[in-house]
Amino acid sequence: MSGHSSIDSLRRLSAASDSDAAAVFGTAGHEELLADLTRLPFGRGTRRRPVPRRRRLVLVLAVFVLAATATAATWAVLGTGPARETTSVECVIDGADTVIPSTSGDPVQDCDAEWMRELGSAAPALVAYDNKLGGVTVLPRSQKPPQGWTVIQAQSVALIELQHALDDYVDGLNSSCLDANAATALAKTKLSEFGFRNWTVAVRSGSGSCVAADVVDPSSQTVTLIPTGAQTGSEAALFRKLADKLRPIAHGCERLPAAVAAANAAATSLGLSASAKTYELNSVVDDSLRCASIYETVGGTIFLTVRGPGG
Amino acid sequence: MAEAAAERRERFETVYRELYAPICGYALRRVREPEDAAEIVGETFATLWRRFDRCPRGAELRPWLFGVARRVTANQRRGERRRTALSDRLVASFDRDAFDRLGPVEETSELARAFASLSESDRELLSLVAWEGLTRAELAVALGTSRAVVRLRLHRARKRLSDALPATQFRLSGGQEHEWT
Repeated sequence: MSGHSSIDSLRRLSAASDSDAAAVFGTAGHEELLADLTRLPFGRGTRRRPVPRRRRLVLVLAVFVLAATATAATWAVLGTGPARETTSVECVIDGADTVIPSTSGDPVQDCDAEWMRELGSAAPALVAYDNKLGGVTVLPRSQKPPQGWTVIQAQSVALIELQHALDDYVDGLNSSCLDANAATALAKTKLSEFGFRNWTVAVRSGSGSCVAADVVDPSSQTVTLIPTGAQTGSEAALFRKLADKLRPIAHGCERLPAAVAAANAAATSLGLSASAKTYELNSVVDDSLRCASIYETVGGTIFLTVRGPGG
Repeated sequence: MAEAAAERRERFETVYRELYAPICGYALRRVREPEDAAEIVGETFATLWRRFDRCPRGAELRPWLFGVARRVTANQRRGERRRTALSDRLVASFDRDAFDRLGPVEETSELARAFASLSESDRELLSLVAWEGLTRAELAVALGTSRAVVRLRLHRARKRLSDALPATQFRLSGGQEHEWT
């Protein structure tokens, strides 16, 4: 048997051609993965600690904080712009780091809550730093930060809300199959709603029929919309069913405690469990609002963010 | 800085569009659970993105990325499974019909049995040639070793495969010189 024919023989043991394999995750998967990837922090090595399925992303802190990095959260920081203008935060929890979507605008508060969820105990005193790599890292106060890191107090709440609102499955780009015109209109509405003036909305060329992905880039003041092949997830997907249940709550005018209770009830009615981390709810008191907002985004788990006036 | 970021994204997108299908193929030729394949694809490209300014350019990029996929797959086999936002994105777009069209892995022939009897290292080496079509030079990049070592390892792997075949079967060690010998 010649070398060529032996290769051919082994090739027949393989079930999948490249093109057939690529079709398994569809055009939508292809486009959305690209959008998510280019939101990741750039240029830093990452190691992750193994986690069981149904746990969300947790990363290992390799030896020291210098090696700790942000990673594959959908809401990860953008490029290397100002740390304040990012929508995720890296929490170093018990030696491991976890990247979470920012919720309150106060990185310490967000990591406090994450610490409690991860370990079931209160966090020690924490400090948030601009890590000079384009993101925010929160360390225990007892841990000396790497040289050059500076303390940061807050992230842009408006930017966080904009990112949530765009990614939202309740009323955002992921709420239904929006064509380029509808998605552009929605993005412009959200920009205006959160006070972003003089921003532009661009639609990346593509053959997809739905626009379900976006890149928010404060450095260029641009929201880039990305057509994908189809709507993410079928109607039967739990995160879609949950969005359907949350929509009437979001369209009502509840105060924060009532909205949180209703959102939790909607999730549990679908068999979702916060303790099993099949969803995660974060609430933020914002007395500048008249009614509570509810955002649903999907990453390693289903994230619900409820922001509204206190009790 | 914004221009640099945009230019980087554009370059990355070009590479991504070129290598997405081969990496999906790599993953689904080795694992049969869609979640596992999604993890391999997501992690591989996340590594590419993070190291984009430091990874090989040109002809070496493709085999280098297969090397990344190989390490991700090996970690997965060691039980280091994880669920990430990236892989969840792919799983959410999973197309059952397309998956079913991949067909079953051929497991019953003498060659399949002989192949399955090899060590994971030998199987991966031969697979990178037969399934991914890597040349010896590309294998050296993917495996992070020299061409001489690749040649030796390939020779031994092919010999072990040949030995594992029944005597009535053709032997893989004969025949003309090929890039993978």
